Amino acid sequence: MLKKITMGILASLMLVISACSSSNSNGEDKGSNNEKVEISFLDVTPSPDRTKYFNEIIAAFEQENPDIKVKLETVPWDQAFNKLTMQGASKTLPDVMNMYPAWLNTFVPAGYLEPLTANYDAWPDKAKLTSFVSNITMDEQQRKLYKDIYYMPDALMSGALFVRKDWFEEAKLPLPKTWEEIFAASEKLTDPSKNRYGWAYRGARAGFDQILAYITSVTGGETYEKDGKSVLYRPEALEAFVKFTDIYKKGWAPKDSINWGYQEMVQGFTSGVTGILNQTTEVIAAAKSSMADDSWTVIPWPKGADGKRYIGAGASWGYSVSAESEHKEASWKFIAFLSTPENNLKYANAMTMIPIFKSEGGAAVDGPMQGFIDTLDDPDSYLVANLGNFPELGEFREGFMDAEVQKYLLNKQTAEQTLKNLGDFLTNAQQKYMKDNPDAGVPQVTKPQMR
Amino acid sequence: MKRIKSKEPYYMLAPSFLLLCIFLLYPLLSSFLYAFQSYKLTAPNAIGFNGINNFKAVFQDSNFGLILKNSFIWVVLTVGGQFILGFILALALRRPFPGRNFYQAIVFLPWAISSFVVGLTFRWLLNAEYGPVNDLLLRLGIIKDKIYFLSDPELALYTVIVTMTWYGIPFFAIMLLAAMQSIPEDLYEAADIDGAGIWSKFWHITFSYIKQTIILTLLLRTIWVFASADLIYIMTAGGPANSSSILSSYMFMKAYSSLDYGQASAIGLFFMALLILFCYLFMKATKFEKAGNF
Amino acid sequence: MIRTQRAFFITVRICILMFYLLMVLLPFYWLFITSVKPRMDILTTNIQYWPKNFTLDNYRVLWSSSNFDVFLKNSILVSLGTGVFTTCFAILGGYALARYTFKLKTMAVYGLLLTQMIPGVLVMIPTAILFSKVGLMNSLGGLIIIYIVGNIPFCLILMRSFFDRIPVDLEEAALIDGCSKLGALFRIVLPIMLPGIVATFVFAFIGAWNELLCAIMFISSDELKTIPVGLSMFVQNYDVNWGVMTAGAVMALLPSLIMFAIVQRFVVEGLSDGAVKG
Repeated sequence: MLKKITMGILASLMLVISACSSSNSNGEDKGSNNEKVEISFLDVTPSPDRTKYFNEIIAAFEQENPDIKVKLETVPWDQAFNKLTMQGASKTLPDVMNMYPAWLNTFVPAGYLEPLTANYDAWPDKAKLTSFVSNITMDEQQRKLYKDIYYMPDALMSGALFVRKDWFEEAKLPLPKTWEEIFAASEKLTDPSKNRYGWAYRGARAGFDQILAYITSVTGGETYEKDGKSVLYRPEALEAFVKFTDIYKKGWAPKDSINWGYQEMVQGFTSGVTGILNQTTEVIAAAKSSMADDSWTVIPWPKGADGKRYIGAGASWGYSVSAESEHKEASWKFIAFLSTPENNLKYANAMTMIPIFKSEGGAAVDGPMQGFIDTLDDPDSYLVANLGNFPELGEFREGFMDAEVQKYLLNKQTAEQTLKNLGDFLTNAQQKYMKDNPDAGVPQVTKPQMR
Repeated sequence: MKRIKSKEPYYMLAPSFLLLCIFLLYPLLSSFLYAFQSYKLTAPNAIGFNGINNFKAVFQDSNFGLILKNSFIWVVLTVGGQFILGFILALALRRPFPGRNFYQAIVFLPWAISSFVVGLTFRWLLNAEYGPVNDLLLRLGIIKDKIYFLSDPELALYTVIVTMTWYGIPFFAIMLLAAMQSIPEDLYEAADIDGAGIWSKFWHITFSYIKQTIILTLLLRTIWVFASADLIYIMTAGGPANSSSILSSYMFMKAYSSLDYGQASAIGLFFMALLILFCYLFMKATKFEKAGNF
Repeated sequence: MIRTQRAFFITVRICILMFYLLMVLLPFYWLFITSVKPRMDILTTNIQYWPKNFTLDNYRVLWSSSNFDVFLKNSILVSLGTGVFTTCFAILGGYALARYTFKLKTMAVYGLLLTQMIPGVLVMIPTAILFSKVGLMNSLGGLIIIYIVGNIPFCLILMRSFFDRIPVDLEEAALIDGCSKLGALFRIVLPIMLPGIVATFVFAFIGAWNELLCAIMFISSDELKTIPVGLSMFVQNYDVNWGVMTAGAVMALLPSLIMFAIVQRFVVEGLSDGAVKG
């Protein structure tokens, strides 16, 4: 009797489990009967706008290719990296996925991604790419480092400054063009009694990137010496580090911002606590929806003391095919469809990013975007070198770098010691990487060109 | 009633242990092996046994001491706070009062909400610049200067502890209340006839009757709280300057950001060893075994 | 003397109850008013404690432009499945642990405790490999299994402690009256145990209702996502859509609120008319 009850419960569990799993396998069966191929596409930074866009694009694609069905999947950005890792390890990656360019140094050595080199080289729209995309995104950042192409960029993102136009007018300040003017403006806009601060400081969750953006403006965009030593050992880097962190230490940024990440710095700006925000183009949408139109604007990246602009820009995401996909041909077809000049322009406009193609006849992109493109085209603009491609980079960025800077901000450690700790970490990792990959060299400053 | 040679208990336990063995023991054993290997996802061709190197790397971290201390504070204050406040709530709810059903449904609500919503909401509530808590306290004149709940290294850990306590009170309250409900009412009646006071009734009846549940929930909750890092990750990311990092949040963030599963597994095992030690001591101290539970 | 003491205790009790109510309600009040504010009014330095421009747009967006109805259905399915099966397993196993002595008993209890110490992240990838072999990846069934496995040890131990408190004599009396062993279990013991059973069920149900990490990791298709995953979609890397997210959080609370309201009748009254007295 007892045995029967036990078996009964187990059997009903099996029944429920298989009933709950069937919807999934049914779809695949149907697909093979009609000789219809189903591919899955994972978006790693979903939002209602993006989902709407992709659903429309998928519908159009399926109409053009009746034998291919695309299934849109999404994973929240915070967990995207972990999920892809897990799917890679268990060989259940989707056919096509959004790839964050910085993830390549993990996923390519792990063998999760399919090289797209042959497809890309035979791609008819290749010639229409801006030289930034074909030279830097495709060649410098992929072919040179990994010997193959692994993603097709979806669009470009570039840093810029979001400013409170009304505050600047109130203080009778011109909009800043150089770093010096930014520091001065940050001080002048700060008024703790009104709960106003000049700069949207970011102390956590990759906050060091913001400091590095200023440091590289005094190191000529370089991040390493020829022998793989970090530029953070240079005296001018120390000076820049102290100057930038003074924004926090002198109270031109909210005291709370030592703990701020991406969300808080944007919220701090849109809620009217801070006056200047260093962010990428995609934030335009958030600013538009939560602030009055005439209260803010976007200004070009500031020039350094040498009169040059050292900017960070690159593909926001890319489309990749997983190595174990069974429908690689259909997957590429889908990527090629996403990357037609018309669809790419539609995408870039909807997401407030920079398209990957040369604009034909001008006026193709929305107003503020053109400003970013012009900045990238400016003869004085240079693309800063990155921090390298060694596997320890994740560890450096995820916890180490911000904790070290926070120690300095809290006066628990000197600036010298902080930069030495950061520099030691980077130097060790980079020199080890160069030893293992003798022809890799150090990351280089490049000249962007959009046309 | 208690039979020694019967297969019945095995049949009764079989379904549970079958599931546990397939879906927990098997994965655990595989990660046990990883702990002694160089197992980096980024270097799939360099996987091989490397002895205790993974364990060495764990202990050589310079932040290790601070983080152990934080873990201790975190566990003791969180579990203690949840337990005491949960106990008081359960006591207050034991006897009926008008509207008790409705009241109960509301005070148990924190339990029914996802931890990431709790983390995000409290991070916003406690934000010093645009969060309502500071704004309210300032307006009511309770404080003169803003309190930097999440950015003051002296406060950050305790802020997360308060949040975690808030989140966990209903668990204790429900468990203890359910246990209190099964105390036979005639025990109290008998005590009343004997003229026992409130404290004596509390100690000799309520407390001693539900002691088993108390010990059990305390033990399990300690294990869970020790291992749970999501609120810390969401609210402070362990900062500022690791002042709110605990073992689980720090170590896993470190190992997983470099995709070094060998090291992550070594940490996991160290982690389990600590907990086993704790359970052993806890059981000794509470005489768990003597109480007839084993 | 006794009267003043009683009055004192009643006052203390009312204060305590008010304190908990406030402590719980304030954050939920904040969630709720955020959900009825237009986006421009949500994050401002001029904090609105009462919505100036009341709107239900967030709820409208939630129901129309996200798959909230699908998420709700999935969450209910997964949580019910988890709750029912976990409770069944826990009753069986808990009874075995409480009423029998057998060779492997101590080991079984230690084993259950040990499972609680396994860090979830550690077994995530091996589980995924196992799941993909048996076709449980990206299925609600697989998710139910994970949740059952996660909840069983605690629920089993908990159930055992509830059984422990039921006097053995009750069952023995029933056996003498001619009941079979199982008959005694179902007719006499389980009704008395109702509060414990309900608490166990609620525990497993809520555990599954709130779980986020596994639901993200093991489910990919949008039509199989649960509510916590759906809510986390409103948190982008740089922007939290507070209005819609809080609207979703409020909606997700309703089923739990209803369940709590229904269920506590059992938790509270379960014993009062039970057999212990009679």
